[in-house]
Amino acid sequence: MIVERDGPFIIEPNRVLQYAVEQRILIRTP
Amino acid sequence: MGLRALSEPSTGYLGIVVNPMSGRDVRRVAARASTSAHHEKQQQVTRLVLAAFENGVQRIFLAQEPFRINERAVENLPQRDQVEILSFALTHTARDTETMIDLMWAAGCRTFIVLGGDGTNRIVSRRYPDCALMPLSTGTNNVFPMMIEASLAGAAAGLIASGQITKEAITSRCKRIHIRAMSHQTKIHDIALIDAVVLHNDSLGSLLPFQGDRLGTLLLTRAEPASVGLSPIGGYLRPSGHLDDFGVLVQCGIPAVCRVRVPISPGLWQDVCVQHHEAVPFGSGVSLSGEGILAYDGDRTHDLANLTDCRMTVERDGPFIIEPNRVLQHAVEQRTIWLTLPTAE
Repeated sequence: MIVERDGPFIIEPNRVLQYAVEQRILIRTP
Repeated sequence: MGLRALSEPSTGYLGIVVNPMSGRDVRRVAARASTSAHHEKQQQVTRLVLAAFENGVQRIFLAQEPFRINERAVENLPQRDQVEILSFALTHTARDTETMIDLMWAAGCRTFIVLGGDGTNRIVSRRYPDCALMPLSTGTNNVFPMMIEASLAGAAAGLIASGQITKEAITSRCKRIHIRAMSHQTKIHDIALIDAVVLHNDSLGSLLPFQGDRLGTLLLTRAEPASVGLSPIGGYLRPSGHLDDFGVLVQCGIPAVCRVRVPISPGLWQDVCVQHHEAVPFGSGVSLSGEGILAYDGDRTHDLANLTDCRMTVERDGPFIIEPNRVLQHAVEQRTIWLTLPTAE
């Protein structure tokens, strides 16, 4: 048996939303 | 002499507070929140009890409630004689939560699992801020209660309640908003765990989800992007988590400098216009005046027009919050949960 990191890209909501905040993707014009 | 004065802490005692009405409010109709059936809660309680006993708890206290969730959860367990179901006169109001937590405290419990929403946790946190608290969600996306499998929540709470891990070693106190004001010559002091907000053109007693265009001044202990409710409003602008030592103030309304679109309730996305936002250090006061409804953790509580000298502060003086990931990780590092193998003859 071998272990590989070759599966699907896992979406972690905490990390994705934190990144979106840092990139100011979620702030819109009034 | 009150119940609190009579009690001594007892190692190995655990209180489990179940709000039978959580996960069943109007958000099922006015938004798209899931419903938490009694049977699901009963199964959660069973798993909590089993996990706590597996991790050092000697005695568990539950309370009677109208739907017999707790009785059914433990009636067929081999450890039934180690579980006490407290009886008292039910009022079918939030007062029942206060009574059951008082009885559990008097019995010696200092660690509690709360199966309910922000409101149930607010009652426990206001009454016993020095307890260790494991807030477990029943399904609705509150900020304070955690959505985690009951087996893990029970294990973590068991390790703390049994004294195998001290709460000071691995848990942090939660932040609280203190609201102090005068109302008709009477001092008011209330707390909120996550948010306190002024609502315009709204009504006391309404149970409907908030509307984004009616929000005014909003103070948050936790501003988390990955959350539902008012917390993501601050979370999209100035994130602050459980461990960050500041709150977040957001002034909503127009004219706005920016706009965010957030899930203000499960499945209900709304625009919120923002005039200003800033971090609020501990102890720094936010003054409120004018008209509007003051709501704490989603509960519309006071008419601001009836209050004077209204001031809010954020402090880290709430219960010690049990985070199962941190507690179990710590237990592994300390080898607390390794079993000793029998010595070979």
